[in-house]
Amino acid sequence: MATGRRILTVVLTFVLMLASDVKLHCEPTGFKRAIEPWAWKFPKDHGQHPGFQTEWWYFTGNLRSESKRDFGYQFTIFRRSLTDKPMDRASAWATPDVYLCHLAVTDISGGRFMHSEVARRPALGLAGASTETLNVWVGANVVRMDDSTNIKLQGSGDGFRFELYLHPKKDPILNGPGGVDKKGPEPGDASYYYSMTRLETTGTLFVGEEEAVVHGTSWMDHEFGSNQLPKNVQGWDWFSIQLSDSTELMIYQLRLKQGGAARESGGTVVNSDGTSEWLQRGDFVLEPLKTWKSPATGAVYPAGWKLGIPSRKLELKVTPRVADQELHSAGTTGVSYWEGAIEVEGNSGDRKLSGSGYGELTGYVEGMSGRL
Amino acid sequence: MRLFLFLNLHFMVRKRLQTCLCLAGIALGVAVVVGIDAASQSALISFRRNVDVIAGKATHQVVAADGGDLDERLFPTVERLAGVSAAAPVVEDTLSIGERGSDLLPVLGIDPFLEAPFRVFTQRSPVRGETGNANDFLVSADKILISQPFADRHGLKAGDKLEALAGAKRAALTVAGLFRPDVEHGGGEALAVMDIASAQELFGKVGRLDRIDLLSPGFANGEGNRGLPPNVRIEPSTTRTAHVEAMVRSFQLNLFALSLLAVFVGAFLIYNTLTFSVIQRRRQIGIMRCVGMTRGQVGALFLTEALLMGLLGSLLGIGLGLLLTRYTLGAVAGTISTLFMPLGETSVSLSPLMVAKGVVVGVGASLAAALVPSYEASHVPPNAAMTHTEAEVKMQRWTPGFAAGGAVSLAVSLLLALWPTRNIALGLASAFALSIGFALLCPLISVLLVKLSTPLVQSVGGIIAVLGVRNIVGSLSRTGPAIAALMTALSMMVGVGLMVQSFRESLVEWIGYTIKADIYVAPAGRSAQRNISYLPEDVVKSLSGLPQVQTADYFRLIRTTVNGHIANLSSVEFDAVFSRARYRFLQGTQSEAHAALRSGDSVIISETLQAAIGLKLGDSIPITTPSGKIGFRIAGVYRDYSADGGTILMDRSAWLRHWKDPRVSSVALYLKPGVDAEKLVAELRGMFSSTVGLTIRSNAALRGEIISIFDSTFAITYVMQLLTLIVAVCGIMSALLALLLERTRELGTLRSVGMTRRQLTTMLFVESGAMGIIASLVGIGSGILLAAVLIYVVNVRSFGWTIQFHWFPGLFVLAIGLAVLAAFTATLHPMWRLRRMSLASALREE
Repeated sequence: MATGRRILTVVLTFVLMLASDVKLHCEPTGFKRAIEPWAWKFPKDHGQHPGFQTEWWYFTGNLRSESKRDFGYQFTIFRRSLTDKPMDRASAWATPDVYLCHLAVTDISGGRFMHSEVARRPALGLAGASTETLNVWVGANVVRMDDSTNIKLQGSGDGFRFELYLHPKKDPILNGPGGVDKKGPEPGDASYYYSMTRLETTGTLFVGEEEAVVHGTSWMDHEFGSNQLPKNVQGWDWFSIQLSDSTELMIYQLRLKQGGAARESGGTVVNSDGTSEWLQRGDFVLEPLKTWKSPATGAVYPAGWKLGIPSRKLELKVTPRVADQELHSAGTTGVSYWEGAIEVEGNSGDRKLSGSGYGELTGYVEGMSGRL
Repeated sequence: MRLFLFLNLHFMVRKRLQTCLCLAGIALGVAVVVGIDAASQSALISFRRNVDVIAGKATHQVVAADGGDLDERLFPTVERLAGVSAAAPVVEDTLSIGERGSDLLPVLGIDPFLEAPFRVFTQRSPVRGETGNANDFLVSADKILISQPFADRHGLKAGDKLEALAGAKRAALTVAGLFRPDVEHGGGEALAVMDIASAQELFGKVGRLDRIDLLSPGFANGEGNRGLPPNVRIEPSTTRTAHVEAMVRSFQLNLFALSLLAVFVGAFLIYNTLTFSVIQRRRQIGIMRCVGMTRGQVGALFLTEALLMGLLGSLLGIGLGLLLTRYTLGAVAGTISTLFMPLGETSVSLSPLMVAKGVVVGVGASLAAALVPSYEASHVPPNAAMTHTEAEVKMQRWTPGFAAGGAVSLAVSLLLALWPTRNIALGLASAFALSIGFALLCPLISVLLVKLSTPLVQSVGGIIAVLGVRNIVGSLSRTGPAIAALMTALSMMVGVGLMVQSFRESLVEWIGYTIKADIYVAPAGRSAQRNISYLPEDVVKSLSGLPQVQTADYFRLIRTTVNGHIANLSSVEFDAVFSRARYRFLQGTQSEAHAALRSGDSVIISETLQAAIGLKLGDSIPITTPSGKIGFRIAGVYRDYSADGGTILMDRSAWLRHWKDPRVSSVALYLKPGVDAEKLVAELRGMFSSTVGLTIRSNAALRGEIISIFDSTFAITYVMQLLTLIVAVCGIMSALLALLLERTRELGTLRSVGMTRRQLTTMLFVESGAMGIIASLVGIGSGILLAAVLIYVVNVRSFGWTIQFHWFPGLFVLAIGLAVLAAFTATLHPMWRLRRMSLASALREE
């Protein structure tokens, strides 16, 4: 889901460094597009899908240390094709693809948030992705799945690093029929998208001088496509939630520039037995409860929501675990978004429920849309 | 006191010609100091800024110790080294732009994704649609970003095509955008940025990197290796700046010493003017002392006068110096551009320190020159108005003292010249002590010369002429300093002139026996680092396959470091080179060396390198090759003027064996007998001009070019000599003027006792002519010694090369001619005044 905005970030990182104007809305011509249902095959489809312009692997999770300190983490690798034409170049550095990694750690107990980004082109083994299985890396940041579907994550940013082992408790879940997730009204305004919604996690987290042995639950998204976001969309609010009753929930709401939610907003509910249901815009209610103003960018973000799914008698209150989990690139690009650990409380009918997850809020920073 | 100061000023204004000459002298001296200083500083600042832009925030860099470039596969290893928090690959090269490829544009090939911690290039203005997009920059090989000042200079804007030469390759590039390097104090006026892939392809460096920049604050300040391959070195990023700064400093020191000589001459002027002023105002001083002024106050008054003149002259000099900088800056910046990195447009930056230096030199010299006259003024008794004779008596008494001082100074000079050291400053000090020594000896030498020549003068010119030359001794307090000033200027002219001409002659000889091939072919695109342009392979092939060619020499040049000293390492085909050239071997012989070079790991080294590292024939010289350090045997030491860092020559077979890199920097063709070289040059030009950019020169053209480079390098010394000479002419004019005005009454008396106007004129011209001749004779003697110090001490210590001493009698004739002419010119004005003055008023003077 977070694709569009993330592409933006990738591209704007170019702008920062290359000092060059960017045509965001160039029509993808020779790229493959997400129209027909995909014939999914794992572990092959965990790998990269050449021919699609954009692909990303996304991991988030809520962790607790042995000393009962709480942490959240984000680990994302993007692949972006710069051209749909074959490149006939002599230099190894002339690659059609670019890889970018975003890393963040939220020290929930300490009320701290740290984030880093790394970009590499797949030259001399500096970055790359297998086409056969989950094996993707950008510099020293690596995600790799072994034969028994266990995943190892290694990430290092400014002032923090982590080494985590993720074990899937459920099979991959497709978001949308055939894994086609619609983003807009036109055919091809879509991406192929699946999730691994409950990954049992153990490992070690280093924050500054501190070392914490942690365990918890992670979420993985993998998405690829060549679509552009419709022009009338201002941004989105997106959530992944793991509930105490072994169900999971993914919800996104595309916010229109003129106000209101786009028709393509939706989500997926994953039952405890691993089956799933897709949600349409009308199937859920998402209302902000209060706001938080970023001291860094001045953007005003929602900072708490009421989330309801009437058909499942589900009523949840969603709260950020730390207010400031905004990623901003040194203020020079003006590209900032909020991506952070959340906790939920509520009930499903009469049953009390709790849970945790991640939220992503984009399009709240002033001047963003004007700039693009 | 204030009143007297006013009188002083009044006096200065009244004697405006004297004062003007005096000011001009100081101003010129200071101008030379400031002009040189500002030029070197400005060039250095510009260079530092460029290095800042190019090195960015890097603390260290990984470079090839074997003088080549790096294998790019090293990069991932380097990036993962412990202690490295960021690393960025860099390809650095130069594009030649414009009609004759004369404008150089340094190009930085970078990976934008690894750049952020090191360099930030800010876009000038993000105009939508005007620039290409970021994707294009990475995808298309022809995209280049250009610094705004350079683009403005060439009228380029985003989207424009840019034709350029990359070595011998003609490149058609597209300006993807303009940027302003984001460095605090400017820099990067001329700079271009390309994607690393595009840069590698453009400059023929696919798979290679020129360096890897590191952010590794924990690394040591010295060189290291950290387990990387043996041909790789990690060095602090300041190393590069340090090399250039050392070079500019020695350049600066040499010029500064020369400019001090100009100031030295200027100081004579002040001495003259003040002494004149003291003698003229003895009565006035006596009155002042009568009304209660203390000795100290009188002394202070004259020092104040010197201070005022010094200040005013310095200020004028600083302004003049800035004008001069326009010329000198080109010379300094040009040298740095050729040797290290194109600087682009360099603006003159004048720091308060430079101004202060100019003022200190100007005022300091003025005050030093004023010490003796001020002392004299403070010792005027209240009741007395010392006659001119008294001053002369004093001067006669002091002459042996001056001479003794001069002898001591000469001894110091000799000691400094012979002292076994490589310190350049001490060598220059020797030259300076020599000049001071001769200046102090000047009065005594003048007296002796007059005495010795009197009989001769009498027999040729009669009693009037004798009167003329005797006047020189009679007014030694006035004529002495004037002769000394002119002598110093002439000595500098002769000394520096002899040195430059000897150097030039030695170079011409050297060219004659080393530059022996018939045709030289090199890439037309100039490269700042000299070692990174190559001839395309197919060009080399077709050249060596020409039917007119008997044999060819494939030349390759890299920069290497031997025992911490930067030197050129060249590989040549000795079979071809030695077939015609006869090198001057200082150690070993050409035939023995040839055999050794052909058979094994032997090299010959230049005299300059030997001076720098101290190795001799038969020693082993450590050279870093791609497989690590290897000891090469020194099979000979030869004379070479081609590079000031020193040169190592090895046979191409040895180069290929160790470096395995067949790329060629240039080719020298030896033609079969009877082939017309000039005709072939024209043919070759026609053959290649459409496809590649080559410089094809015949033997004669190359020789001519080397000489013209030499001449332009030394042009700055000609300018300085001219300026010094102008100062000296001012000096002698002011001295003669003072002298004659002072002697108005005496001359009036001579006229009244029957001397005709013609006789008087003859007497004065003999006097000034004799002064000129004395000054030029002493000046020539002193100049020859100065040339010896410059050639055998300063040059050897600065560059390590030996120059053959050559005599240029023309220079001596020129010195005598100039001196006499200057003296005659200086006599014209007082003469004109005398002739207009009636006898009665002349007698009434005083």
